[in-house]
Amino acid sequence: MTQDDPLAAVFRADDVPAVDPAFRIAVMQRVAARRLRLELAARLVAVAALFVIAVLLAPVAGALAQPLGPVFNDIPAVLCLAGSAALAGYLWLTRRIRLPLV
Amino acid sequence: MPRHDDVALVAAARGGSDAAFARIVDRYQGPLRSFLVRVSGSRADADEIAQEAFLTAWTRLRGLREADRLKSWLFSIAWRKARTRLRSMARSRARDAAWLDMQPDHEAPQGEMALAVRQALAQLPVDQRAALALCLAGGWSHGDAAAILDMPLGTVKSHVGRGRVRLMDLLDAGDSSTGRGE
Repeated sequence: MTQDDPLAAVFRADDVPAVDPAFRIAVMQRVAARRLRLELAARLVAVAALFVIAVLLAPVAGALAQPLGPVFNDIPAVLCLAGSAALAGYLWLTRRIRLPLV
Repeated sequence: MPRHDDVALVAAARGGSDAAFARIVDRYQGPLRSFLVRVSGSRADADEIAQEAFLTAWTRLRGLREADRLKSWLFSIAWRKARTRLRSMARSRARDAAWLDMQPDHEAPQGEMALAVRQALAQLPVDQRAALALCLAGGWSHGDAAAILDMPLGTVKSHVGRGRVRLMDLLDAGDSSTGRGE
């Protein structure tokens, strides 16, 4: 469209302002909300996967723990192991996740 | 607008930079919203569609193969959303029209000319409107418009040619009827 085109001025009369900060803020709020939903979904999937793995490994872990019975009688050691497992789980679940956005 | 800037902004936004994505929004919100106002005929609808388009763009940014074609990619997303929305809006438009007519100064565009343009555009088929909005108002080439609208090149040229004549006729008719009324 050239400057001489009579429709140029006609269309310019209905142009939206080039930059509207309120519009940008609205878009970025929706982006933040979607990112939150994606991260929550990713963490939910991770927790579900951990639970499934724990259920699947429970019989094996039980069999392996049989000979270790005397060891588990030592309460401080059990607490130490459980605490370590809980800490490892916490660190893993709260790690920064790089989302596959495609 | 240098396209290498777009490439850098896309790379930064893909890396998680919200500031880079906000700059993309600022860079293209004006032309995109103007295009959508012309297609939808409503500032509120255009803003809603534009927000959805930017949100979809953020989600699919990693899938953008040619970052230097960011602008046309954004327009094609917006066009697809606008087309879908306009179809559903057409069904509810009649129901809403009576209510909107009762509202004082409902979404009045700035000035008589803007109002005349919107009224004239509203009488064109949506595909023709979109082709006109891109090629005549937005300055896109016919080829780029064809890619954005996912139409054959010949169809876009035909839409622009016929739409231009019809738009001029409608605007002339509006002027003469206004003149007669004075």
